[in-house]
Amino acid sequence: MATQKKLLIALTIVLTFMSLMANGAIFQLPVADAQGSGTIRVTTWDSGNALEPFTNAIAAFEAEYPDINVELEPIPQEYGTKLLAQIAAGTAPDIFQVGDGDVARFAREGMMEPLDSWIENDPDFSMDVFFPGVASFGQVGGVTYLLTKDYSPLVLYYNKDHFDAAGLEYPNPDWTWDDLLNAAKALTTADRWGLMIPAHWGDWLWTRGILPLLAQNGTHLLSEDGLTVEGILNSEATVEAIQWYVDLFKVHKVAPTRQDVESFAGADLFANGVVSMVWTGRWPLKDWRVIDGFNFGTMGLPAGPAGEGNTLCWAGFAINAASQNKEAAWTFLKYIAAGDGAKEFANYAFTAVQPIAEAQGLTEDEYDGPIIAYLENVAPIPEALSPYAGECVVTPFQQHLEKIFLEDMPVQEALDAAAAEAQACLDGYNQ
Amino acid sequence: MAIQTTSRPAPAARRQDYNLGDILHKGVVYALLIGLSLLFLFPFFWMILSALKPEHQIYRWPPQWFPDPIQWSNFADVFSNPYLPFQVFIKNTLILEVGMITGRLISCTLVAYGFARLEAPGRDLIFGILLATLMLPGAVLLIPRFILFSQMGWINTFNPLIVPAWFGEAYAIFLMRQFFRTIPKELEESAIVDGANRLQVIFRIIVPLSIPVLTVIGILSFKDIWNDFMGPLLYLNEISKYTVAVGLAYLNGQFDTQMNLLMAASVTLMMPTLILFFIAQRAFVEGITMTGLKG
Repeated sequence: MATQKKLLIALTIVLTFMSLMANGAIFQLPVADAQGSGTIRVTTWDSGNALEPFTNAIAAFEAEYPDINVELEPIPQEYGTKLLAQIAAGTAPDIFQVGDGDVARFAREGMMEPLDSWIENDPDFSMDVFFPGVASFGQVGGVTYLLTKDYSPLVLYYNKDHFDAAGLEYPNPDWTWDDLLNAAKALTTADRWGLMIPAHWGDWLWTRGILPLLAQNGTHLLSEDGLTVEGILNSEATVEAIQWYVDLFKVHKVAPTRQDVESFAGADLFANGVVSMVWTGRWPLKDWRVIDGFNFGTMGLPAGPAGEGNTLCWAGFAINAASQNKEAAWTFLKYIAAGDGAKEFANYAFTAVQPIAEAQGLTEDEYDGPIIAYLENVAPIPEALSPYAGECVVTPFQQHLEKIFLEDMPVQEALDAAAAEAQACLDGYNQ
Repeated sequence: MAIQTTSRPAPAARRQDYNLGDILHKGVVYALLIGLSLLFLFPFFWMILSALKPEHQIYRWPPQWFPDPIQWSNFADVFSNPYLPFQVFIKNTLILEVGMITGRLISCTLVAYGFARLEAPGRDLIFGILLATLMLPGAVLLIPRFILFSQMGWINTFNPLIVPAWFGEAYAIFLMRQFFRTIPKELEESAIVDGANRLQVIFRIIVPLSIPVLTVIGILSFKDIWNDFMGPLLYLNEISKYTVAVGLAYLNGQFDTQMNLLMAASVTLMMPTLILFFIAQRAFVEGITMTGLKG
C-alpha cells in the first residue's frame, strides 16, 4: 500500500509539472526573440548554387550598411514545415520567402508585415521600378505584403531539328491553338510525341500549367472576388478549354500521358528528343542551354479563341509581422528586391526590376527575349483570388480532371461535380 | 560474406560423387543468390556511375551506362563548394552520434533492466504506455516539441537532439528488455549474494553479456542519426550547425537537384555506415537473431 501511495504522489507531481509546462507553451503568446540590435535573419528554400546570389548580396549589403548584420538560414527541404513551426513558436526569421500559392493564406493569418507605410515613408523607394503585373502578385486586397524575388511565366520550347526534319515553320508570335495542335500532330511519330504539356516533369494535373489555357479561352477556375465557382469552373468556355487539353492526350495522342512519362523514369524527354515541344516554366532553360549540339528555341504560348493568356510562378520576400527589427529588415528587403542586391538575383532568374532587366539586355537574348515579350496578359492565380482556393478549388478540380483521364468521365460532368464541391467548400469558409 | 576456402585434399580422400540433383540444386541456389544480389547492388552501381557523369548524361534516354568523359571533378565540386562545408557537417554529425548513442545506450540499459528484472506495482502498465508512444506519428509531436524546446531557449543548439536521447527511447528499451530476460537470473542472484549492488550487477554482468544487443542498437542508432533529416533541419538554423543529411539536401533542394553532385556526395557519405556495418557485422547479425528482430 505504502508503495502505491508513493507512486500516486509521484505520478501526481509529474502530471502537475507536465501540465504546467504545457500551459506555459500554450498560453504564452509567442514573442519573437529580441535579436541583438542590428542583426536580422533571412530564410529561403533555395539550395546549392542558388544560394550564391544571397551570399553575394549579403556581403555587399553588409559592406554598405556596417551596422546591420544579416544571417542567412536556408531551409533546403520541408521549408513550409519548418517555417510554420518557427512562426508558431515565435522564432521565425525577420525576412522569409513565400511562394505565390501561400501569399493570400499568410496574409490572412497575419504572418506578414504590411509594407505600404514603409513604402510611403521611404523617399528612396518606389514601386514604379517593378513590372506592374509581376509586383501585383505580392499584393492582397490592395495591401502590399511582399516584394518580388523572382518569377517565371510559362514558355513554349521547341526542338529546331525536329521542326527542320519535318519541314515545319518554327512557332511564331501569331500562333494559335490550331497551329500548336497541327505542329504536334506532324511531329508525333511511333517513338516521339509532338508536345509535352503542362510541365516538363510530366504532371498532367499541374493546374498552374493548365491555367493559361483557361485564360486563352477567356475563363478561369473562380470569380475575381474569390467567392463563386459555379458557372465559371464549369462554364462553356472552361469545358471547351479542358476538352481541348484532354483531347491532346486521349484523341490526338500527341502528348505523353503520366504513365508514359513515368515509364521513362525521370529521363529528360525534351533534351533527349523524345518530345518535340514542351510547355513549362523557365527553370530548365539554364540546363538545356549548356548541352552541346542541342538545337532548340523558345516562344510565348499560342493564343486561344479569346486571345493571349499566361500565368506566373512567383516568389517574394516578406517581413515577419513579429519581427523585432523591422527597420533593419526593411532596409535589407528593399536592397535585395529593388536595390543592388536585386542585380545578384537577376543573374539567376527573371528580375522584376525594369531598369535591371533593360540593362541586362534580356529582351535581346535568343532564349529570354521571346519569354520577356509575353509578360503581359498574366492571369491571377486562383490562390491570389481566395485564400481557400488551394484546398477548395484546385484540389477538387484536380481530382475530377483525373477522373476524366482515368475513368473517361465526360468533361462537362466532371467539371459540374468539381464546381459543386468547390462551391460548397468556399461557402463553408465565406459565410 | 562467407569465403569458401579450398584446402588441399588429404592424399587418401575419396573422390566426391556429385550427382545431377546436387548440381541442379546448387545451380538454382547460386543463380537465385547472384540474381538477387545483382538486384540489390544495381542501384549502388548506378549511383557510382552517376557520380562520375556530367549532369545531363544522367537523364539520357536510352540510358547511358558509362560516363563519357569520366568526370572526377564532381567529387571536387561537392567537397570544395564554399556553401557546403562538408567537413563541418561531418563534425556536427559526429558530435550528435557520440552524444546521442552514449545517452541512448546508458539510459536504455538502466530502464530496460528495470522493466526486465525489478518488481514494481504497475510496471507492466508503464511498459505498455512506453510502447504506446511508438504508435504516435512523429508529425503530431513536431510542432509541440518545437515550441517546448524554443521556450527552453534550445533552438539552434544540439540540445533538442542530444538531451532527449538521455531519457530513453522506446524501441531500444523494448529490444533490450527482451534480451535481458533471456539472461539466467541465477547469475545475478549469486552476484547479489556476494554483495554486489544493482548497478554493479548491471555493468559487470548484464552489459558484458549483452554486447550483441548493444551493438545492434548502436549500429541502428548510428545509421538513424547519420540519416536523420527532419530533426537537425528543424532545430538548427545556421549552416555551420547543420549535419550531413541536411547538407546533402542542399544538392537535392525543393526545386533544383544537382543529381551528379548529389550522387558523388552520397557515395562518399555512405562509407562510414558501410564500414561500421562490416566491422561489427558478426555482432550485429548475432544480435538480430538473438533478439528476434526481423528487419
